[in-house]
Amino acid sequence: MIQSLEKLKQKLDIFLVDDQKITNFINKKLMNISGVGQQIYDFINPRKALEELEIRKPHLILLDLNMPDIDGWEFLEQMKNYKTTAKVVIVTSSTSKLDIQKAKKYDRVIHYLIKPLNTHAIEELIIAYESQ
Amino acid sequence: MDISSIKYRITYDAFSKFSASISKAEDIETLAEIVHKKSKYLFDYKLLRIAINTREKVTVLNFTAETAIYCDDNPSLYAYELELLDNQIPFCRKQEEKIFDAQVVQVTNMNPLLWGWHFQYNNLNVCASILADDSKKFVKSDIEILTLLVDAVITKFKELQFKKELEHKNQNLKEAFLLIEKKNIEISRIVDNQKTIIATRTRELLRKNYKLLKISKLNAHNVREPLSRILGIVEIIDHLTTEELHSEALAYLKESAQELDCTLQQIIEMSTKEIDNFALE
Repeated sequence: MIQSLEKLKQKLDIFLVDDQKITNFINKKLMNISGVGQQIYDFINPRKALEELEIRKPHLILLDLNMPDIDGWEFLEQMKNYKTTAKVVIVTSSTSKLDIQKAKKYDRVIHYLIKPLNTHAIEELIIAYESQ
Repeated sequence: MDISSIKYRITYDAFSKFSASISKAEDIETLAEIVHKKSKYLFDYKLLRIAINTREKVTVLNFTAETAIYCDDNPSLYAYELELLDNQIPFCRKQEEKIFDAQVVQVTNMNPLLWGWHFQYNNLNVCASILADDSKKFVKSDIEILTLLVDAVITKFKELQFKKELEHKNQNLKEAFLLIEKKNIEISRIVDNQKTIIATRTRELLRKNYKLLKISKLNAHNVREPLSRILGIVEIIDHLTTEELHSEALAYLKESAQELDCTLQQIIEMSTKEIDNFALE
């Protein structure tokens, strides 16, 4: 069980989508520390991430909600126009229950995390990915 | 049946008609008219005068063969009437002195006699007087019917007076009622106005409250953003190489700390402005 989880961690291709470069840097580092991810791509421009969805075929996307231009919700809507099986984990500093409820309406959203992330939160999202 | 019995019967018959007539009177003028028209069938006189004294005012009814004069704006009384009011003793005396207004009645030389009586009805003092002479002769036996006439007139007078008072009171009540209604409308208008003001104020307060909540939510969010980044960097700092620490992490840390400071300054500025706005209102 633990072995399969370790294998899974290493095989994942992951998108980090957050308009803050620092957040992507932190989350990427946390992934490295936890040994998560085969390829990790970070985007401060969500449009760019959408464009690369079909090329990179990520397994998992860490998505910020509060972004200028297109926000997390708009990103989720536009994902419907792409051929992708990627699952989404929302990473936000919002603790609003309304946002959490709204997130549950999307099948591809498998988890909801409050910033800042730590290694424990990374473990959590891997378990969430494995068990869906 | 002797003559006096027949006279009695005729007189009482006339009196019952008189009574029936005055019971229909709607006001004092009509009452005076009826008395004038019917009293000549009861007894003879040159002048019949009834002075009614209430605590508030004096009303005088004068009847001659030709006229009925009704006066209630405090007419002056004759000396004999004041005397009657004082001593209440009925009298009958020769009246050669021309005390009456010549236009009302002419005192003749044919044994003019003046009769006077006083009647008391609760709070009413009534002086009844008759001027008669040989051409129109008033006799002692007529006194009884005169008393009945005065009784009937006074009873009706009281009734009319009472009716008038009642009408007056009713009018007053009506006016009071109208005033109350008017005031009620005014009050409900004020209340409605207040309600509108309260509703507007409440809406305004709710709007302000919502605005403040939104500001406070936005503030919390804006503070948490850079703070969460700082905490994130702290979380990974042990795992960074010296190179990473110096080239990236410290710069990010500084950037986020500055952003946090900037946000807090903005919040302080905005809150101060809001507080000033409140103070101005």
